[in-house]
Amino acid sequence: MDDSAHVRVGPEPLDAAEVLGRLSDATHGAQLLFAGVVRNDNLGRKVVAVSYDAFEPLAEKTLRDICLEARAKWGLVLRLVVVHRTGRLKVGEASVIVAIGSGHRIEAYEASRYVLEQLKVRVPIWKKEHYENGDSEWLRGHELGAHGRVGVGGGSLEADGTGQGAP
Amino acid sequence: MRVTVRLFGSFRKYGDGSRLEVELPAASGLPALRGALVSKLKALHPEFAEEQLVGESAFATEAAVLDDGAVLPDGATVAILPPVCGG
Repeated sequence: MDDSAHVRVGPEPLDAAEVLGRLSDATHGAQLLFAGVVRNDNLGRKVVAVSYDAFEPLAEKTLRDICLEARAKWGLVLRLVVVHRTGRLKVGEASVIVAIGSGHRIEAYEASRYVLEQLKVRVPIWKKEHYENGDSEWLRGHELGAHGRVGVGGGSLEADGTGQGAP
Repeated sequence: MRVTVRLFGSFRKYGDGSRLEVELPAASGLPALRGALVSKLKALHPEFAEEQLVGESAFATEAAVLDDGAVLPDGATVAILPPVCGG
């Protein structure tokens, strides 16, 4: 893929300025940045931190697919950056940034919403909340159902060491 | 044949928190893998009670989520993906 979409899933802290820098394009009149941050409450329970786990290679591939879909829907001129953290994050830290550069505001708002909503239901990332009382719990999520499943030949199922890499 | 299952999310609390190996008949698919994984988890953790979560989970390579018709080769490594909740 060209540099019109940049995705990353990993432990590095997210840097909004660095993300916006990747959107630079003189033909664009809009840059939109959404940041999801760790909240101190979930359904009445006091949250002190959230740990994110990810199957990083597939998470990044799925995010690239979603970016391609957004460009097909809202224009090939779109630039997209999607970065998601892994590891333990404190309240107030950013877990995800979705940034869109586009000619005008409408496609930026729509593409941003699309990417984030798709991320939540298709990308292999999980979160575990840590509560004030010391308990912790993996949150319920969305089953990976019909989205993007492939046939027998599509998954490149090789008997090899694909298990290396991400924790 | 032997298949390695990488563990994610809620499954991190089992085994060594990273991966489990299961034995399967040759040319098994995902239904057999789910069954073998539940048996292994029950053997390792008598308190294991997440059969339903195994059923709700997908399996994947680093490149794609597998459909239930996928046939596993001997020595395959796959990831078990419980329902996702990024963001």
